[in-house]
Amino acid sequence: MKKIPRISLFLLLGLVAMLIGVFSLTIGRFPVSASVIGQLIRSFFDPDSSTQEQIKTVIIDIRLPRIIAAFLVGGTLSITGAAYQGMFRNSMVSPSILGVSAGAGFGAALAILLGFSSIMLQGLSFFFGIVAVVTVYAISLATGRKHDRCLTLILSGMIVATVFTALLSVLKYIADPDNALPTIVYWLMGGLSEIEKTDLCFIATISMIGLVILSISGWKLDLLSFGDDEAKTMGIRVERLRVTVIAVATLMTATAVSISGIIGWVGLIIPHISRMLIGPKNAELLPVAFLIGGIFLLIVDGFSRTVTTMEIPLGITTSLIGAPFFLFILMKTSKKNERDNT
Amino acid sequence: MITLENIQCGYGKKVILNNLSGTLERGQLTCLLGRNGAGKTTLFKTVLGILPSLGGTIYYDGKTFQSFNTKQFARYISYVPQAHGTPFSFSVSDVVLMGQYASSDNIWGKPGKKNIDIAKKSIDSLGISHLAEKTFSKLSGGEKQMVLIARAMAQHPVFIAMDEPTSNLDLCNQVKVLQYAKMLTGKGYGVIMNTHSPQQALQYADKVILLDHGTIKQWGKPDDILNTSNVADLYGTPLEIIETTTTNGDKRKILVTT
Amino acid sequence: MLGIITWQSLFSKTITDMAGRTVIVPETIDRVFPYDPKTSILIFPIIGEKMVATSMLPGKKDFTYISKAYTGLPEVDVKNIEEVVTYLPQVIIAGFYTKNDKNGMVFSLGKRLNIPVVLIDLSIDKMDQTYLFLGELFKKDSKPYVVFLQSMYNNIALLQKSHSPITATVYYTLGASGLLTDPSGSKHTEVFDYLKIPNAAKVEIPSAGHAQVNLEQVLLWNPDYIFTSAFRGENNAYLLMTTDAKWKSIGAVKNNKMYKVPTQPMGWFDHPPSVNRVPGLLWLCELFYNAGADPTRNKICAFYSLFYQYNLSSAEYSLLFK
Repeated sequence: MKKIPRISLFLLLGLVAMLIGVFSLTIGRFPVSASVIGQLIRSFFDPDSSTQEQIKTVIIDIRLPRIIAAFLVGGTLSITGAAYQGMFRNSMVSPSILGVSAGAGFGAALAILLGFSSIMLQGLSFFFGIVAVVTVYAISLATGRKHDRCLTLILSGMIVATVFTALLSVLKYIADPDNALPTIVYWLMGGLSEIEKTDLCFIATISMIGLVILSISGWKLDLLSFGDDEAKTMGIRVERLRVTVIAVATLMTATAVSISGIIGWVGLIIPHISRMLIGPKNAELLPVAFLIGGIFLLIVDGFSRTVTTMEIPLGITTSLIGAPFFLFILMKTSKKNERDNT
Repeated sequence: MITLENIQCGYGKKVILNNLSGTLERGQLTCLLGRNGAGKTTLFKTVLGILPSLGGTIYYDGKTFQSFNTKQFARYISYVPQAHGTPFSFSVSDVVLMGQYASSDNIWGKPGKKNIDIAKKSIDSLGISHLAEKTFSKLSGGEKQMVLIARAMAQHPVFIAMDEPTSNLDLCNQVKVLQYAKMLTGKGYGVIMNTHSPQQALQYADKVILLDHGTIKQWGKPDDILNTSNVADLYGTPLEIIETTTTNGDKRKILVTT
Repeated sequence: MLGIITWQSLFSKTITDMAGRTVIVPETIDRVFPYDPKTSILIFPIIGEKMVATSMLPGKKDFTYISKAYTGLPEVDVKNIEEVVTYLPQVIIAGFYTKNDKNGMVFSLGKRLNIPVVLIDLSIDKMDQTYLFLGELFKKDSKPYVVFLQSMYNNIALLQKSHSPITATVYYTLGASGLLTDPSGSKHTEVFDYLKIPNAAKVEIPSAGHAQVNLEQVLLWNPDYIFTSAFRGENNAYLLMTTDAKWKSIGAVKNNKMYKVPTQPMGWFDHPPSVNRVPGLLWLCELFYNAGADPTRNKICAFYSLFYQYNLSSAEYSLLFK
């Protein structure tokens, strides 16, 4: 695919995000007509005109936080996936490779089992997500002397993820199948139906700060794609860069997962698509991945919450929509590759 | 110049090389010869600061490794690895520009116009401007090697360390690379090169280092050191170094296996 | 031990269980193993002394307002076959709801232990028949239970006849968010379907279990009544709905028609879906069919005394709803 000029791509994506965001406000189970939205906007400026309380609740308190959260979570998962792919020099890597999702899932299940409040649930989920990655990093340091650092990180990630997944299974096993278990299962499948305004503050701050730090580190990440040794000789403090990327990405991902449950696929595929559009230079790739990922999840969540009476878990819709979409893109580009190579 | 004082090299606690001492000069091409597993790459990586030395000190223009910060050190010595690919589709200009990271004024390493110009000059000076917008990983081995040399040059170092730069190249590309290496010394760079070919050393090196049994057997001019007995000993293979005359009347030494 | 059992099995009889199966059981049965919690609680009042254990009700730790004869029984995990064997049951009793219910697991347990399996009907509208059957099989007096249940069924039929169809909708939720519900058709909300009280939650996919919805959907449904299933700990949908501004426009919240479903000793609507739903039925009749608060309370206390062998004081009765 031809690489599109940078500035226009950013602007285009920003515009698309806004448009889709506004459109998303109009869709949902509760019927809201366009004229009502117009009324609502007017009511902000004109104190005399008013809208029905319920409609206001639906649009401002239910849909708006959810739309913003969907965008931020999608963006977070995509940018961290892209950063990890650059760091591990492997485009098959996803944000959960260091175990953050497994840890967060365990923390959430524990909180549900113990009957904690939803704030504590997010807290515990976040906490265990961080614990998982810290453990992974510690293991990789302890065993990493003789082996390639990236390899030990990935292997440690597998170990820790397996342990937390097993513990999670234990929790599912002892959970009351009438109350706690369905709650746990639904949480794990991913969803934004319980998003509150307070959650937004948390994820907005972390994802914005993370976006800036990661994008700025983009130049250094590029050098890392040639291997630790070469990067060192070009002036990169490799371990420091890795710790920074892992720390920021983990904080971002743990926050996202603690709010939305486990949503796979986005962190793996959106970076691919972004790379096809804008190329591999991380300083541009990372913010573009954020935008595209945010838009993607925005669309998918709109689907999840509107199409049927029941909520379709986000983890399911991202896969069901994302997989064929990616297949389509692969087929399109492979044809082009064939043409290029002949 | 780079001075080695009684260096010990190795991995972790294991010492592979001992008692290495000598000087690498600017404006000279020094070839490092030795058998597989003799520790050439280990010595290389130690000089480049990738591996810590396990004993002794290396002085870079009189300063120790610790007295440089990473960017300063990158501007002192740069590395040309054996040509390999990268999983991402960086263009040749992108790759060469990476060499300017250490010289970037921006704290995050974002290249400014100055950096981009220097990178471009580096590409032009090697005659590979026609490759500038191509994808690096799709190039041939020889082209990739050129790009990596251009990147090492873009780092504006004092020394350039080349790790077996001709290993995967056909003959014409081998010659090209070696001639460039020589040209670099003409421009004032110091070049250290790892090679499997004593012939290349005979033809191009200003100094050679023979690495054997964990230490430096010889360090000096090729004319003095690269004789039949030394080289045959080093590789444990019967061979002869013969002096001959080319059609131009130049006296040249060549290596023949017997 | 085995000798005694085989001796006894010389004296056996052939019966037809409620699923129409022919089963050979010992002439006198003294050791009964209920396969699951819904069977345990149903057979307890009539043959409690013959029960060797109760089946585990996962997640439930405390049982109040029920006789110690029940809570004193050991809890057994039916998946642990060895443990089941240590109690030397002679017969396994399991329940079904429809003739189509597959009971494969029960039969394989019976086969492995070489013990007959007797199936009983747990349908919400046939429980009197079930007690009749049990009385005949175990030679116990089933009259008090049958009479109680039959009078309840008659009363319900009468109320439904004299009352216009219910139009108010209910919304049932479990869990902390208020968004996990059981739609119409689910076993958990069968009490509503049986009493012809419309369940606000209607979903396209026929769900025998739970459904997750979002708040917009609940607003759209605008239920008139909300029943929250009690949940351990601070996770309480009832609290959320009363305090969170997003819920206040819903009819049920506005008119304060929100109820916590009592859970002692077992849930009044489900958990398990068995005879413990009788107080739930009586209570719903009071709420929806003008059944009268005092008669309802009396009937519920009578139920506790008869089926749980516990005398509920009026103070305890009020506590049930907290």
